[in-house]
Amino acid sequence: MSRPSFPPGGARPPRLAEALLGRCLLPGLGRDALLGDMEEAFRRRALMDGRVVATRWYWAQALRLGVQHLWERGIGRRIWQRRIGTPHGSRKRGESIISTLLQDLRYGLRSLRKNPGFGAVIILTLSLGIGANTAIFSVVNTVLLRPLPYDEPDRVVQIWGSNERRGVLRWGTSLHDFEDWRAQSETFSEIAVYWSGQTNIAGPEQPQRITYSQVSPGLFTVLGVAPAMGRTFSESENLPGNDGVVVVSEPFWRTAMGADADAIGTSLTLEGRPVTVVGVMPAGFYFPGRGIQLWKPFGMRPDDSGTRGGRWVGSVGRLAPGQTIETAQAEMAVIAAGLGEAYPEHNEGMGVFLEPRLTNVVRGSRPMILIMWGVVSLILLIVCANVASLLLARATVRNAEMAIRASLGASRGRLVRQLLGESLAFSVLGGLGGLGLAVFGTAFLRGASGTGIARVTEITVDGWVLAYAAGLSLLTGVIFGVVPAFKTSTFDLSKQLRDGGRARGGGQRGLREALVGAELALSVIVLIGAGLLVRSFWSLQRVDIGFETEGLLTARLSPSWTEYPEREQALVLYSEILERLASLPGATAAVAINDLPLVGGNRWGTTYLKEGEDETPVSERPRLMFRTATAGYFEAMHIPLISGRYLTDRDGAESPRVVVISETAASRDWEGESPLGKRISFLPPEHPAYALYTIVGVVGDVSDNSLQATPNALIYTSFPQAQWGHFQDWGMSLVVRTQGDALSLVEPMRQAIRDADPNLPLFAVQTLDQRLSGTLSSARFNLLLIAALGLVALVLAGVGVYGVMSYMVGQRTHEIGIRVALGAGHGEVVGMVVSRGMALALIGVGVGVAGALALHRVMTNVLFGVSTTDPATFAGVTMLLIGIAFLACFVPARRAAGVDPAVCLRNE
Amino acid sequence: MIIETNSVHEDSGVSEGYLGEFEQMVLLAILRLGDEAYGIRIMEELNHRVGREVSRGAMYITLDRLESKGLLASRQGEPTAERGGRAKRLVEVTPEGISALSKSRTALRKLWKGIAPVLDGPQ
Repeated sequence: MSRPSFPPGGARPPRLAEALLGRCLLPGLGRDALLGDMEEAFRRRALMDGRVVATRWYWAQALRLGVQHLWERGIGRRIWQRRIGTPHGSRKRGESIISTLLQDLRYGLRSLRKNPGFGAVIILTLSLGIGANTAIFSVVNTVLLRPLPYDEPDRVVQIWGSNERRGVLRWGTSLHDFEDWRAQSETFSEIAVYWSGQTNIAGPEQPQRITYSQVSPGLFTVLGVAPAMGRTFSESENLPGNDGVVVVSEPFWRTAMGADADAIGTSLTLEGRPVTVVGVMPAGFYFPGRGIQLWKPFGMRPDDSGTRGGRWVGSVGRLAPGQTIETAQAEMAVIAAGLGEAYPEHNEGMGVFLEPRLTNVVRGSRPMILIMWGVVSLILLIVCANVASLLLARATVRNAEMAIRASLGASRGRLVRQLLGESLAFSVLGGLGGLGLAVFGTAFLRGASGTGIARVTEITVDGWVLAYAAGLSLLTGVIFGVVPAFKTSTFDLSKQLRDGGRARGGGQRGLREALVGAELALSVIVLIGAGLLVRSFWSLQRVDIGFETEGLLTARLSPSWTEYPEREQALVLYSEILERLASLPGATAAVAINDLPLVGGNRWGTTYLKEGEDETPVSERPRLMFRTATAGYFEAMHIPLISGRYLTDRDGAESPRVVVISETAASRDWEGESPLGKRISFLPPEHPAYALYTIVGVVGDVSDNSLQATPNALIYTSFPQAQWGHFQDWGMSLVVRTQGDALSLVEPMRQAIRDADPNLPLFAVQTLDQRLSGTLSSARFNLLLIAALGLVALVLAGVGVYGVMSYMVGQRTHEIGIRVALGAGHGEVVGMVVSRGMALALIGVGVGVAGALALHRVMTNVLFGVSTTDPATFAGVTMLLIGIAFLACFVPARRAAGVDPAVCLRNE
Repeated sequence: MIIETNSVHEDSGVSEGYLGEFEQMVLLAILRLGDEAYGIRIMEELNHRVGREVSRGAMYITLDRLESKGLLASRQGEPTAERGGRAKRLVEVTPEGISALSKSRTALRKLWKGIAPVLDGPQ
């Protein structure tokens, strides 16, 4: 029905409420008239009482009207009329089950209105439980379950080079191996390789640093994604000289290119070289990571990229129709074995390992997400126990009501259904509240990007999450409702009526106590999990990283090959820059290294040969991480010298070649002997650049990758003597040691670099303290999350115990009154109540500890520096919960002891 | 302990062809309003005349029921801006409605006869 438009003006009713109400009504004049009436009334109210009151009023009215209308529509006039005059509580023949269910739901809502405090506590508790669950499920759903944005993403497979002899399952591959795989494999319809790095792109004023990926042209076929504009690469563009083309990401096109509709064919300048934009990928596409801004072809033949042993590219493939990952794995194993025979030097023992691309993307985040899911599930169980226990308490009070209903002819089954209807009403409202919490929760989780959780920015509440929340609400409604429902509907009718409803409900006490025990046990499990993570975080912070971060300012620099084609030119540039930096006021030293500690990547690995052991096949040569540093690096970083000497200015390009190794390298490869004076080489003797390096020093280990990882074996060469590792995409990290505030030197540092070369972009400027804190951010986030969940569990358990204890005391007021009248002292009464509660608490905590011992093994992989059976954590949590339980018992006990026997007996 | 009593909109009073109390009040309010009778005005009229706060849902459901019994007729009114451009559902009492009202009034009158002094009580 088309509606004439009117000029806007005045307050409008809340749109969501209006839409909801509209959905509840049948279309037609009736609906329009009602909505019109509502709006009219809303406007009047807004004029009189203000907008806030009017909005609140509108919501209340809309919800009531909506439910009423749904109700009318659901059961129809006939049944409604038939019900008139029959006593509530018996289902007549011919009434549909749905109509009774709706009736029970409505009845549940109505009884909720009568006792709003009770209802509010239950609904809040449920909202908390369902909200936490739904929020974490939205993570599970988005990160672990949602397909990647590719065509038939199940067929996209990550292809790793593996090396069983070294125990390496996931490693890169070489361009040589890739070409052979691609030529020989029939189980893959296409295989592609990629390598991601950073590059300088000319900006309007200063060059910018962007993240890009070099890819083989088949990548877009593997992923099955076509560009939104233009085209992707042809095979010929992967050859040297033809590779001046790029495909850009949608965000890059929008921000850097101003969403230019004629972007195709425009020119960009990468590393001082012009390239042509040939395509723009669609929004939402990313590969391999989200930050990639453009893709360009490798533009090299395999032989230009180094040896077959240089396994520096990642690989993905698309399974051919009808093929599975298992058939592909079998085929690739045969191909790899063939390559091992054909190229024993580099490929002997090299295998292939396949896994779905999605598995690879989420591998790092999976354990923690599943643990969080487990934790929120436990919390939901605590919530159910809590609510069931509250309902049981009320059940006692309602015994008389049930008795009257039964005497009017309601069957037991009918009573159970009615009570279940009430719990469903609670759980539906709790579910709605939970959904609201989950929406906030997911916003919070999305804000946690940068903590290393894969796909975290994609987290949304979608249809699956809604369905999950709905299912969970119904399930919890049944779980917490079913036992109280049966308990409440079980009674001795004549006795109840005789008692006049002053029920004692003694038989339910055992059940409620069992529920509280279960709650405590579950809380112990959650809190021990939280405690272990706290301890783990604490150990992480206390890790000896092997160097001092304080007062160190770092930045990264990468002069381009085009401007500094010769090594000597680059060396001159770096020494000029370091001189300028060292002379800045406040700076005490300036050094450079190809990779700083804590960068979080196994970059620059190399094998080496001890002098005289040239026959060792490549796959069995010891492997370490290659560093090249300027003189003074160790001193500036405060890395301790174990033996020998540091690198100095005298280790220049023309001097005898020297290296310094880390403690781990020394103890691993020179067990029981001194490495000092020993000579090694990185290349085989027949290589033209073969050279021997003498080990002149052993230095302390540093945390190279992350705080968790055991330190890598490192080898440091002197920068002027290094044969590779500091140009182009690699670049060098500058380190300036300062006195006082390191950040105050950021601008002078930029200026010094500009003075040396105005076209050099400086990036990743940060203090080492910041970098360290960044590596802790993921652990810190996990900690925050689980600490919050632990707190929720603690509060719920405390409230649960308190509720049961004060209820128990309430039930026993009469008895306590008599005891006091007969001369029982204050202490005796308190002792009686507390001992009962504490017995319960001890059993619950004991069961929880046993459960934690059994369950927390799953946490082994996410903990650092603390065992899953850490006695301190177990003891601490046990004491904490016993303490809470004691408080929760003590308060009602004191109240009980204060009972005035006269008052209490008179009330009877 | 109170057993749930039927709330306002449930006392349909269709038995024996007599109108329920609420239905009578709604019909009377509509008659009083004349040409300008629609949901919100009827509620205001009831509130104003007898001080009765009516639940909105009960109101609309009663209107639907009266219309389906043929005691009311409704037509579409002019849309106005303050209603978000939506038309009013204007209602009027049909001849059947009038006779149902009058039947109920006669019945009540007969029953009330002679009772007033008891209710009025001592002044």
